[in-house]
Amino acid sequence: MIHHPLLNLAHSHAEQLKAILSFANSTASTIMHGYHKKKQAGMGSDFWQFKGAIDHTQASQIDWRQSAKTDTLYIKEHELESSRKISFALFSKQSMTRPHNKHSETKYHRAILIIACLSFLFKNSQDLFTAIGSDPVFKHSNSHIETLVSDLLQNQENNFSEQEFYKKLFALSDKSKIVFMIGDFFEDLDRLEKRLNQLGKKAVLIQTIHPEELDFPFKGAVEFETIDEHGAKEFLKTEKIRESYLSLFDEHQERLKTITKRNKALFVQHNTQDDLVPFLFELIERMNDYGV
Amino acid sequence: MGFEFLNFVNPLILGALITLPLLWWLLRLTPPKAKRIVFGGAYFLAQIKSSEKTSKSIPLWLLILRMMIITLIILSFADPYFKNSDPLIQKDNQNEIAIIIDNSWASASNWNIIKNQARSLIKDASRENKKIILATPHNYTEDNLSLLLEDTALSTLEQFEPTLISIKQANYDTLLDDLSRLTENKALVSFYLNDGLSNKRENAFLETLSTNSLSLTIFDHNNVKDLASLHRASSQTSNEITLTTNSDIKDFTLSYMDDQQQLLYTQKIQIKGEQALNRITLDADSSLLRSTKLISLTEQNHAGAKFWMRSNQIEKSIGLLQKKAKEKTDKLNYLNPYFYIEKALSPYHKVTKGNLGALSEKSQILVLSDSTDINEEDLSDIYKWIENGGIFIRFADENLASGLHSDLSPVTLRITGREFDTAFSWQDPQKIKLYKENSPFAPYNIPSDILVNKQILAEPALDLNQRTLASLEDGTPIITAEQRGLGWLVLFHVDATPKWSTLPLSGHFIDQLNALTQLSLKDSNVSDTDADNTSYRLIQKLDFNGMLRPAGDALVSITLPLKQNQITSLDEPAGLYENDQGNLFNLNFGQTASRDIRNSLNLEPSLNIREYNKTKDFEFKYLLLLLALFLFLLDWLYILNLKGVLKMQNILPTLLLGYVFIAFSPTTSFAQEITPPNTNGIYLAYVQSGDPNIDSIAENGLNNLMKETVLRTSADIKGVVGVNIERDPLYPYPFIYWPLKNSGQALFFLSQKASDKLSAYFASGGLLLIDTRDQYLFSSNADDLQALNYQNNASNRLQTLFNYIDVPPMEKLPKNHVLGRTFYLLSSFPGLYKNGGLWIARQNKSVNDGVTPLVIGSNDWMSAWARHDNGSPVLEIPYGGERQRELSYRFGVNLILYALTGNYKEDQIHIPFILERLDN
Repeated sequence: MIHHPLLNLAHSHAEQLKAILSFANSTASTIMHGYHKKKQAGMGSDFWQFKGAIDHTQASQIDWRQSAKTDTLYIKEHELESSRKISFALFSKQSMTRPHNKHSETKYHRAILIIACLSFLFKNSQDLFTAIGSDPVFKHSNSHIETLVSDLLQNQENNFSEQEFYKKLFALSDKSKIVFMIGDFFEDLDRLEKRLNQLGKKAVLIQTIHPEELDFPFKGAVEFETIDEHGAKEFLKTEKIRESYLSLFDEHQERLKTITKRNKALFVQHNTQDDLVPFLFELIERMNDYGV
Repeated sequence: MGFEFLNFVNPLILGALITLPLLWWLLRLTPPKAKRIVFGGAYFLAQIKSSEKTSKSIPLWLLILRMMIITLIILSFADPYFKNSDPLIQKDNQNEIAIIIDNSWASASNWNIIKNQARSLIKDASRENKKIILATPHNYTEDNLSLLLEDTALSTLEQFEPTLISIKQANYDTLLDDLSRLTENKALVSFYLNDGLSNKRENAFLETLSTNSLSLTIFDHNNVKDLASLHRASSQTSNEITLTTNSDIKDFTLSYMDDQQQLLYTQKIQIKGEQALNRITLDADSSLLRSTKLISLTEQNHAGAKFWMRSNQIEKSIGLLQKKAKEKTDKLNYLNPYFYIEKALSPYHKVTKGNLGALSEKSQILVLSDSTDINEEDLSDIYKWIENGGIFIRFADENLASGLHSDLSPVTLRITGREFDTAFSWQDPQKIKLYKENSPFAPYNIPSDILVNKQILAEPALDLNQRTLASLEDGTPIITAEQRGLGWLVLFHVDATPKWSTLPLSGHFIDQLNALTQLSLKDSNVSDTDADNTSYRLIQKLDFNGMLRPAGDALVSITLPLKQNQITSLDEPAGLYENDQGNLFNLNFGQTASRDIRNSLNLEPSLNIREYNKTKDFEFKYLLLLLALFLFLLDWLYILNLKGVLKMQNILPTLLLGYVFIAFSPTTSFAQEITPPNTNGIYLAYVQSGDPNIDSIAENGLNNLMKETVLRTSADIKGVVGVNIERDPLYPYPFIYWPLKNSGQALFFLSQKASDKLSAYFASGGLLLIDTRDQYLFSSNADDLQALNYQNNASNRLQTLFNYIDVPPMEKLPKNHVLGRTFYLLSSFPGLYKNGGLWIARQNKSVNDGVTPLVIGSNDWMSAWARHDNGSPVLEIPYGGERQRELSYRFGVNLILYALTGNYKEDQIHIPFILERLDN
């Protein structure tokens, strides 16, 4: 049997998809209890109308106070709570999708896992969601997790331009109540702030970081390969530039936090080496506090 | 300075060191390649200015390393060496030197030393730009001299080897003539590398050479006189040999080796007096001697010291007379006389079976063991065949006893067999008593283990005694022989099966038959058979170490018999020969060597004689290259690390491991390294409680118990060790003592691993004694009450333990349990206390022979066993005194022997002794 390369790729995607979905499903059910959304989709608490009871109406549904005033039995109907629309924004730039070494998980892959877990969580609370990053962008729904994740997995090979990506995000943002932006945010922060501002929605920024980016453990001569537009850089004694790197990195992180705060967004950082479950617990707690 | 002797063969190459600064500069410009890494944080790196220009160049240490590699390579090409001695060849106007190597057989012992000296001379000469004349007088052929350069001279030297001819045969005259012709009578600086032996001719040659030379230096060994050789004179029998030596050394060792060169036997020889020729009797027994193919002098490493056996004995063609039809049906080998005859002869001779017509043509010896195998008409042919030089060996059989072909016998036979040791005979079986002096059996000792049950007697006659080769105790002949014409007729008065005598079963039978095959040679009056006079072709040649090597294609042959005292030569070299009939003959070199040794003289003292240099010049070339290679390897590893192929943290342990592996090579201590502790003998063990007081008493107690056990019994116990039941292996210890720490408390928290280990220990036959040491809690002497108390207590405290381990149900020690009699007969088992009962696991008889794996008690034995170094007890026994302590030792001894021997004492065979002991 001859395997077409695309077929192999499809097999590999299918395997990854299966693993991600099963992991996300089980993880979501583990952390479900911690998620206390204030308003569930379904019947709201605000009064809408009284309606005459019909046959088969259960006694518990009858509003006795109102019924006592007249001879008719009434049912009190409340306003229907609408489902929230949530958008995940995952930008497949190279610094996210390329592995640092053969054995390490990519930040992009970890981001998909987070999206999948959150999707299951939102599905449970009957919220609707979609992802910018998939191509084409799906409508908000809660029954398409599988297709969504599959599409994101495939999408890491595509190279959207940043502009194109944000264009899509803004187009969708009008329909969305909450936007989850997931990435490493190693980019021009002024531009990011402008975009957050422009978005004007509740935003949760989840920064996925590789441990080597936090620690810069390199020694000796290293040529850092071309990633995005930053170009390759070679250093013979990398240990000597560690200090400079770390201070630049810290400065960037501080600014990122300030910007998110200023724009009333929620900022959460996740190290790809860490366990996902505790992180998700923390995320949910923060989301609860944030009012999402 | 110390560098006086440091020389370079190619000093000009050192000039290349000038280029080092250039290399320095070049190397600095080529940095090692960096490893490539994909890194998300490169966004930040873009903002870091790569200001370190030097980081683009090679690190200093690497630069120095590479410079060292290049320096080492340049130095090694310059070929440096330390001279270990004064140079023998000086710078002078002479352009040639002559090196003459005395390559006689005697040089083989020291051939490497001689060659090294020659090599050193060649190199010296080459350094001084002199050409070399190389010659070996012993196989020198005319016009074979030329002026050689170093390379050619060294390769020519490699082809030289000692020549197996007498030193008398050296071609000195031709060599001298050619030498003066080559040099046009110009005087040369000459060197002569002597073999250690010399004779008149050699001395004369050296004197002439000395006169003709500008200078003559002779190298000689100081161990000249250590030569010895082996040969067998024609007058000597097969268990004698002659050792010739001019040595001051009196002690020699003979090694007997088989055809696979495996050592069979060694014989020490001490030479007495000053005589050169020493007759040695080979003291190996005849069966060993038969298997021996080579006897050599262990201290000597030349062809003369090797004696290949059967050199006097020529392989014969032997025919076994047998009718064809009979051969097919004869399946019962052990009743077939030819089975024994063939076994005895075939390893040494060519044995074929057939009828008279087929065999008489090609056989030198015919054997007949069944009278029905020949016809009446054959007799005349047989007589004629014998007259022509054949040896006819006949064995008696039932048919001969009844008179069939009784004329075919050396003596007149009485036609009734005589039987010993039967219902009608009161005589015991007879032994062989006598071998006649002139018989071929004379060299052999008369065996005492051969018994003759039946024989055919000879009629008394005047010449009977003369024709008897061997006779029995009562004087009756057992082997008779008669010379008829050129041949012999031999009769064994017994048959060739074990029915009549045990002779065919004995190894001596082989000796007898082989001795008979040599009959014709022994008698010098009788000329040899035609076969012996044929030409023998060389098939294996003796090399200079005396070992047989394939002879090559050249046809070399000798004619037998050899002349008296014939020596080997280039035309008739020592080796293994074969004739057209496939018979073999060994021509040894020992005879020639012996002659040379006896005739050897000292070198003329007037000559310039010096000793060989045993130490070579120390050459650095390869050492430097090796070092350069090592440094290169380091460089390479560094580069691999830089590229990320290898991690330095992986390389270092590997290098370290390699070093450790080499440093502690297997021959020294590797075996010890891998041996687990305490498996090199029997060790007693105690379970460490963690309480230093208890542990020290336990160790002390067990040590004393061990001493007592070793003193009183044959048990060989090496020592005492403390074990941690969780961590240490238990399997090395046959007996483990477990003193519990806190009585009354359930303290067993065994890990799964430890409980598995204990269960495995029980299952594999170990013995564990758990001592709860709490008998003081139960002072009552009432047995039942005590037992009850103990049982309650024990069950409470031990229950937890039993939950962890797999152990059979416990029971009180039965009265007649073997533990009470493995060494001492005991009825009680006291320790510091005496009333505590003993509980054992009820083991199924089918498991470990019913030996209990677990004994539990409470008498605190270790406290009774423990003693100070001065012998005084560590703890006083509260009530029982020293008698009780003695009994506690006895219990300990019984317990250890129980652990070591199991239920051995339960065997019924011991019961009478135990009962007897109990009576006393």
